[in-house]
Amino acid sequence: MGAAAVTTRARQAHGGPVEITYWARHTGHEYEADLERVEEYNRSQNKVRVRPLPVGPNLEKLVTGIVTGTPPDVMTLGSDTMIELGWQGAFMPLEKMMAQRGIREQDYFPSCWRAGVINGRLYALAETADSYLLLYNKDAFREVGLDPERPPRTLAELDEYADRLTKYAPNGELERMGFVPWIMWDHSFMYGWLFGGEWYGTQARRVTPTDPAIVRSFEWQRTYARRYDINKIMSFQQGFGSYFSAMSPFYTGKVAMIVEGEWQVTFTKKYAPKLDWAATPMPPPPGGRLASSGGLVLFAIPVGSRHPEQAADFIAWYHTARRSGRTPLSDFNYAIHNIPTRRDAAAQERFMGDPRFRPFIEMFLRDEVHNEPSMPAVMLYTDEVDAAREQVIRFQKEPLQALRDVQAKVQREINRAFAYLRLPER
Amino acid sequence: MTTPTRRNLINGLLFASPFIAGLLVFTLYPVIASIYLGFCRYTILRSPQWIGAENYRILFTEDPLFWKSLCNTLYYTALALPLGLALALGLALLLHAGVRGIAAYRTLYFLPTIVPTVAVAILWLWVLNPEYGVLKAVLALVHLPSPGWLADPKWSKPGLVVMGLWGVGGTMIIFLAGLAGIPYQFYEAAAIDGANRFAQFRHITLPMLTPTIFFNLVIGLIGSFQYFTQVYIMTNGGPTHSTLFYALYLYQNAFRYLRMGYASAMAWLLFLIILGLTLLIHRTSARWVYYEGEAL
Repeated sequence: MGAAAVTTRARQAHGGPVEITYWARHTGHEYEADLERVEEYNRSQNKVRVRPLPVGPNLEKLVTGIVTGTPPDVMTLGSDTMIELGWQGAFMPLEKMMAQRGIREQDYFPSCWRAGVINGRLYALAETADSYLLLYNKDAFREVGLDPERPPRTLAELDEYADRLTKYAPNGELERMGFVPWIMWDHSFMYGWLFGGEWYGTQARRVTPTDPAIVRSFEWQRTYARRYDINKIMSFQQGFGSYFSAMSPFYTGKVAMIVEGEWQVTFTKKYAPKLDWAATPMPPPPGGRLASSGGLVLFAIPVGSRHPEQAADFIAWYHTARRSGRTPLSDFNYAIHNIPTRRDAAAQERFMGDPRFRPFIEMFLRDEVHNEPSMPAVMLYTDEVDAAREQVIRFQKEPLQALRDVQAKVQREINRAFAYLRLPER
Repeated sequence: MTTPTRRNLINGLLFASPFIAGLLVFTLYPVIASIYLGFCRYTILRSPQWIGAENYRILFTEDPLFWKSLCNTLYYTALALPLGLALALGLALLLHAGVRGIAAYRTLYFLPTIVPTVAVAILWLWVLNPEYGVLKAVLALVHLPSPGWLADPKWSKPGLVVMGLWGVGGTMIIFLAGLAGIPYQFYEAAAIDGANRFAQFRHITLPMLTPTIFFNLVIGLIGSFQYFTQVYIMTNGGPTHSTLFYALYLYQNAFRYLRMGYASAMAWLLFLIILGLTLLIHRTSARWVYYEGEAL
């Protein structure tokens, strides 16, 4: 810190701006939008110059950067990586630096703010957020005589709709599927919450995948494997085109209902402009609750950053309204159609006024979006749950047994991690 | 040491120094450090903490995926290695015959070898596609049903074996070189004695090729124990861990779960396994590998 301050002062003495490096999580066209904000910041003042680099979700690069003492000064990263690295002490605490710059918790959606908190301290500030809803193809609804304005309201109804929407080719192979819980990818965490379960006890530091509600959610997922024959579903799935293309199964009508995120509002405009769809919260079973899982991208300052104060300035600028009344954060989210983590930004007409986008934001307004559990070994937990779900839908293990195995393995790893971390008690 | 000899030595070392420095810093040091790290809990971001043989205990007694990945690797090796050697040898024999346009054939069969592994992997994702795959179409031509390949835990490894066979060109070229090294007089003498083609193959070609077979066997063994890129790109270990190969699981532990100590322990076990198997093959080689000049 001392050395960093000296370098900063030396550069400022020469009259040049302090250069800070910024590793961006976003890549491709999303990075282009990020770049616009960075350039705007660089133009807006002459003290700090941000030099961005689209590093993407590259954990190896981050870890080696931090451990060799050459991390970026500031970075954005996905919530799972942030939790995994955060528990290892990779980031600087932010609450003081952010408070000094007028960033307040009450301006954010609770789940978005919480996502940056590890063991009671703020280590990251979320810029973009996702939520997941059930998207359904209205044309497919019409075709089988379902009312396109009345999506399923209970889980039993969803199952029934799925059945009606599923079509077979004359040779007995699947032609269209109404719904499959794990297409396009695993959503086990979300279904656990939907059934009313909890995955992790923060106080007790215990993973709880054997929560009866979670076991029931696995049993429910397996009913699809049984009803439509898992082998048929699997080869049907192999015929899907690339996710980022017009051949994606929801766009081509191969899957009539799917759990997807808010980015589909722009994706469908690009890849499937004629697709008539709407989004609705995933309907819960009796005893369950409305729930969505959500990924986020967050700003953090890694330990070893040479210019933490300038990095904090940049983060705060991103999260603070300009004279126009809009935050750079809201412009960025609008450009890539993610959900702004700040309430004022999300409330803007350009977000809330879009009837397709609005229901995704409403999940945040109702605080029904769940983050990954904030615990060491979160990646292991995610992978193990995914693997357990796969074993269950392939009838290799009973749901309870599969989840017991997950619990045993992950709990052992957490216990070891906590012993190794030697955290101060809160 | 005379002055010119010494000067030569110093110059030689100086010229080789970039390599020597690289070897010491980027290979030897990490290799030695990994022995130590194998006995530590090490998340990379925090300093390593000595835990004795705990990593090895966990591997052997607590981690079913360790055994699963080892079994997958052994299964693949046991299937892909003999098949690959047989196919490469068969192709080499065909291409060794004096057919017209042989150079073109040799190029064609060698071509897949120079395609980057990543490109091959992406290409084969489509070849093996259970709905639209080329392989399905080919099998349908001969009225065979085709399995789900990479979508089916029972067929994913055989699918990878088929893909591996596409790349036997490298092994084939080495066999061709071996074949070219067999003196023609042997065949002449055998023909005069009335040996037919099969007898010639059995009693001349095969024994004379055993050093080449031995070489390809060892190289192939090491290669298939380090099988990584294809599954990293194509399946990420799925479905249901059926393609979770040893090297992939090692990588996941190191860079996904930040268990570098655990991964180091795995790496040393892998080294010992490969070393053991190579020594075993070496031991038996005295019985079946013939070198020219030795009494047959």
